[in-house]
Amino acid sequence: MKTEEEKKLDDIFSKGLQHPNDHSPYMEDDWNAMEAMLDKHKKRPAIIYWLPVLAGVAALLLVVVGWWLLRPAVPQHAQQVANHIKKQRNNADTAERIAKRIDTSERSIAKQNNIKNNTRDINKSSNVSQQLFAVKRGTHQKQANSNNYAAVAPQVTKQMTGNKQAATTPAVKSPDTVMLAQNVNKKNQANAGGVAVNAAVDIPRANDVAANPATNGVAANTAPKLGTDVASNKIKPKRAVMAYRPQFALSVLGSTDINGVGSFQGGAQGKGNTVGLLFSAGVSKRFTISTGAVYSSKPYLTGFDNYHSAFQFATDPLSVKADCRVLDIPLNVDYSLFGNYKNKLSVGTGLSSYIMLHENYQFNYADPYYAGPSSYTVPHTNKYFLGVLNLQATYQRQLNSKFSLSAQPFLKLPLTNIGAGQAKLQTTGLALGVTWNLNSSSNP
Amino acid sequence: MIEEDLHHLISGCVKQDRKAQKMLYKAFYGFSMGICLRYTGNRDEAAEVMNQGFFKVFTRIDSFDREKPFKAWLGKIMVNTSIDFYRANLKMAYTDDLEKAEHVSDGILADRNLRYDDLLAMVQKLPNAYRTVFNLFAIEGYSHEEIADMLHINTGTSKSNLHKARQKLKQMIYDADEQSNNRNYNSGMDYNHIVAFNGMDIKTIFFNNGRG
Repeated sequence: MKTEEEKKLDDIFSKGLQHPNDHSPYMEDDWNAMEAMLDKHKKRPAIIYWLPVLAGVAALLLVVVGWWLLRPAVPQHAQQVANHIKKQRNNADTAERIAKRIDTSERSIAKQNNIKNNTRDINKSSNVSQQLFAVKRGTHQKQANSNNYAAVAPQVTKQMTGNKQAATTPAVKSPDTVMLAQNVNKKNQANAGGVAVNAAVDIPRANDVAANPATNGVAANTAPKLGTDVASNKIKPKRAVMAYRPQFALSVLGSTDINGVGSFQGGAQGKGNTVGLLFSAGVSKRFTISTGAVYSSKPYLTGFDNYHSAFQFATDPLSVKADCRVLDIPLNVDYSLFGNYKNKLSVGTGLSSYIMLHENYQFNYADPYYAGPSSYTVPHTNKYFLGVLNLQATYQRQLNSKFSLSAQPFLKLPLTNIGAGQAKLQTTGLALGVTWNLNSSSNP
Repeated sequence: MIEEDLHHLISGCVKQDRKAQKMLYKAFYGFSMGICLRYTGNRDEAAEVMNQGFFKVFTRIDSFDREKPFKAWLGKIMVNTSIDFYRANLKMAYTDDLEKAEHVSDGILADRNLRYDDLLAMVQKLPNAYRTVFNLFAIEGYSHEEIADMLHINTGTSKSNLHKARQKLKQMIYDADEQSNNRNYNSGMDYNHIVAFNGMDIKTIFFNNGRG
């Protein structure tokens, strides 16, 4: 209970201090400090709120873009052919120049014919010869993958045979041009025992084309282009990897991933397995560098047109089944987009070196009774330094001060031709791992 | 400020409109500063606490129930922020020896009418622990149980701190009276205090060579 004296004292202060409004005049400096506090607050939540969302979108884009943009290249080639056709129609001078190039190609091919029993010499034949050959291979691929193109074939044959309808409907041009080579090759399929023969067979086509400058311009110009593009689809053996981060940490990771040659679609893919050990070092609050060793099996099945070898098959196999074992040594940098003491989200990139531990290729033929080479095992170990681009996004969840779990969608894109088959083998997948934080006490 | 204007300002603050925030800040600056000054030792500390309080207001204003008085809500936030500040600075609080204050006699508080600035200065001179309890009990009207809960102390400490705070304040009022009367004496307006000196006081001064 308050005594009278206490109550009096309390009243003096409560009443005397009750209306302070007029005693503290407003000061602009105080508002400036207030505004600075508000500005600081405003920026912070924007980052915290949006970064995880943006990082999630980035991770999805990584996978989707990788999947979508690396579709089979053939439709793009057809588009390129169509573009060339259009261009050539509007430029007669260019057509004439190309006709000249065709003459050169005839001479080169004729020369190649003279040495048709020597496969090594075939490899040395002129670029035009190779390009024409590549067109043939591209045609095989088209036959296998596109019924639509096959449907157009009769019309093309007609055009080619008649050789009178110069530049006709541009829309049909692109498949037409491909079919041009296809038909010629098909016609001569019976005696197409070797590359040189096939090349020789292509000559009449070139002649036909030359007879009609406009059409020829299209065909001749298209053929080299096709050859180049298809060649870029070369087959390679390879595998995948990924990286991690904390201060100083060791990570064990594994994944089941998808391998594809030239794309992840069109049936030319296979499922592989990866297991690896990585060491990572946080070089700053945001950046982490990691490296290690990842063992990966990379089985895949692809069309023979994606397989490139100096060995000349009497009859080209239909497809190639590859079994590759790779030791992947990555060197990656990760950037932390968001992190608190429990969760971290980062994106990263880097390069991988591949050591091919084992390479085996099995060849499948259209005729099951054909007695051609059935398999090829590479006898030696090949090394490819920094030949693969790594892209990854990583989510890490800390279990305690020592251990974290992580999930990492990744994409590996080949930068160079790798393996005996020289295939452009890319890999995507989701790696799961456990990270042991070596300096756990300082780990956030 | 009329109610309609206030609601308009609050709506602006909900949308994080900086102009509305500044107007609200200015409108309640004096009120908020008055509260914070009572809980802190000086103006700088008070301004810091007040801004932290307004920061809470601006970031939580969408949780304010407009059916209730805004000023009461704001005042409570300022008090709570002041308590947070007190807790954060507990190490600076000290326990003062109140022996001298305990000898302050009753009866000196009759009909005092001290100025705001003087009263504020007295409260600010109190040690943090006493000041906080005195504010919460004597001015805000909380019970010792509530205060104990808010400050994470027991009720005995709360009562003790309040008692010591009151004794201190009484002493300050007494001292202020003394100074005031001395000024009056020196100007020749009042001589009564001469009588207040007794023989013992004079003797003490004498035997100690004037050191008292």
